[in-house]
Amino acid sequence: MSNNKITGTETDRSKVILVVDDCDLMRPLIGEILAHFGHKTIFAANGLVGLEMGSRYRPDAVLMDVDMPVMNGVDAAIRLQENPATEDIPLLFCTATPQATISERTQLLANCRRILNKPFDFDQLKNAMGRRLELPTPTV
Amino acid sequence: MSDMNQELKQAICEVLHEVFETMFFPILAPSPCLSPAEDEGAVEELFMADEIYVKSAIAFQGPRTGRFHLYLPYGLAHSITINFLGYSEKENLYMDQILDTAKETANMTIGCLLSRIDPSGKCRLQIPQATALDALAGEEEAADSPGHRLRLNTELGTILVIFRD
Repeated sequence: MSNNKITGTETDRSKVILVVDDCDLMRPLIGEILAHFGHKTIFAANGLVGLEMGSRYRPDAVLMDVDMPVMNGVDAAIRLQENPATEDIPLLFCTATPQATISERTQLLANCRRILNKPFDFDQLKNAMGRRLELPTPTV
Repeated sequence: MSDMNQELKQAICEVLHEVFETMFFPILAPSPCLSPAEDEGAVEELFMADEIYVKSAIAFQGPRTGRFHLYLPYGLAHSITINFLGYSEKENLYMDQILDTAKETANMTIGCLLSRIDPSGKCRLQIPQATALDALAGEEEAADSPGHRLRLNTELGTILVIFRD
């Protein structure tokens, strides 16, 4: 295993989250919310790049869109789980795709903690991060 | 073109309001401004108006297969993009940013709508597309093909929705 893992260095509460979304606007928006929680973010614009970044940097959690060009989020999540270096990284799907469409495939993913349907607001993301990914979030 | 049945029309109104309220809250707060226009000729009038629109379209496949078109007046698309990005009114936007917002709005709207009208249905969404139009006149032919259409009034112009399945 390489020692490329990047970590949140400021406090123990600071984590590194990989955000995988093909929407150029959603990535920084989610990044800003996560920064408010005190987390660092790294970004990928499709599942294949997300897969590569997940393997290279081994983030503390992944927020994954589903319908993306090149490689969709479910396939990327399956590949992350198949890799011993990334199999334990908790993953949260953030998608507009109807839940029934992807729940059958994602229920086989041990690392998938939740499907968060778009649109979601600040509190919904905060709750998903805290309760499902067990990541620290601010109390405000 | 058939008239959109009232249940579907209401679902689209509610979903659009939910998307706007959640993602672009400052624009339409505090009151829900989206309301279906009652007049039959209202949609036809839109196609005669000389106004710039941003069109986004997304195809879906599954128990319901079809295409969803969302036409946002440019002023509205511009404003929701500013809110989405957290920009001030003085900051410059690129057209690509406005198109991205329109695509994401269509994506979230059709995803919510399909979940609502068929909760157990396994529909796949395609990658949304968006483009800017000088006017809706060129879209009249597409809008006349079988499907449902709906006009929604907002403070920043009139939204046109075409749902075809």
